[in-house]
Amino acid sequence: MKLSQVVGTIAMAFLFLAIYLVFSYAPIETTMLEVQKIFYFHVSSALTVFLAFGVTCLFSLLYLIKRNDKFDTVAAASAELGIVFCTIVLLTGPIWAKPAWNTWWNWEPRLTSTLILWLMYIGYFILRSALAGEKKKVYSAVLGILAFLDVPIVYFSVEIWQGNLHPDTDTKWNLAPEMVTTWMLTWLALTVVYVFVLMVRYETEHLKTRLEIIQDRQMGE
Amino acid sequence: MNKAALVIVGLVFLIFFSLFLGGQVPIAITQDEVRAAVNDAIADMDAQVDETEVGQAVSRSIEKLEERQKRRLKFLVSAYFMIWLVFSFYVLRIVREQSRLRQRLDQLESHPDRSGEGN
Repeated sequence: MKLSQVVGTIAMAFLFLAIYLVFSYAPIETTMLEVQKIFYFHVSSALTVFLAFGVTCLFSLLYLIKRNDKFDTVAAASAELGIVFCTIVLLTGPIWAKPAWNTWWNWEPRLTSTLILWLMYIGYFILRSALAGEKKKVYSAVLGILAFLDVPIVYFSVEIWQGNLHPDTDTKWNLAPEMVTTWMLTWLALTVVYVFVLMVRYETEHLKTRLEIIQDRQMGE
Repeated sequence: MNKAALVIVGLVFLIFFSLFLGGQVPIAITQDEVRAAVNDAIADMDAQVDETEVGQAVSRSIEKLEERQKRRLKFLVSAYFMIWLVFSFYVLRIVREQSRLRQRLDQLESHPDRSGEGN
């Protein structure tokens, strides 16, 4: 059994457990009632976005130092996953916002900075598709590092701009213990899912490189 | 891998929905039960009240509560449906890309002379 398959099995097991906890173990919150259950996957996805873009930043930096193509591959794969999780955050957010704030969207600090983060990494892939070779890798590595600067801005946006719709960074620790357990496990489940998909994505990129090498060799013959 | 991924995504989705239906089904109260409970409450009270009016008010309140719960559940289901939709599309895209690459690689390795085909 391959390592990615082992991680995939663990990810599935954690995901099942997280879903079970969200719907059967975590109590119904008294203000938002059933809608609050969106919180577990919404916030955990947001934290996985930070992890994914953090990995992109780290591997972009490593690429600039070592000039190893593998680092560029991991950085791009992680950025792609970050966009997927960020899309989930941006889609589930309005569904939460409508019953909570009576509006689908509000240009408050956290929402706006999250949208900017998503757009910056979309730009990262536009840049990658527009360039080729060494230039593509170097430029996207620089953008991968610069775009990460928005992550702490997203995290502390409520404190920086005194936004009053999202709770501040400490509020989530005041939840009921069952809610904290459920949230932590959901976060762990999404992190393992992230690791699994990153491995599969890396495998795909490896296959692509192998194919290119074979094609180049055969063209030369 | 392709079929296995599809089966896994489908299974997770089914399990999620069965857990959802099993765990958070709205409690449906029938009109007869409401009437019986209102009659019991009125019987316990000392003051004179209009049984029909009280019964109607209680029934309407329960209907409103159920409507609100239905609305909340719609938001909850929509959010989780969105999550699965995004994940499924992404996973299927990767799986499809990987199987296409493997196929092309196998083709090139078994028939090296056909390197120009399928590009």
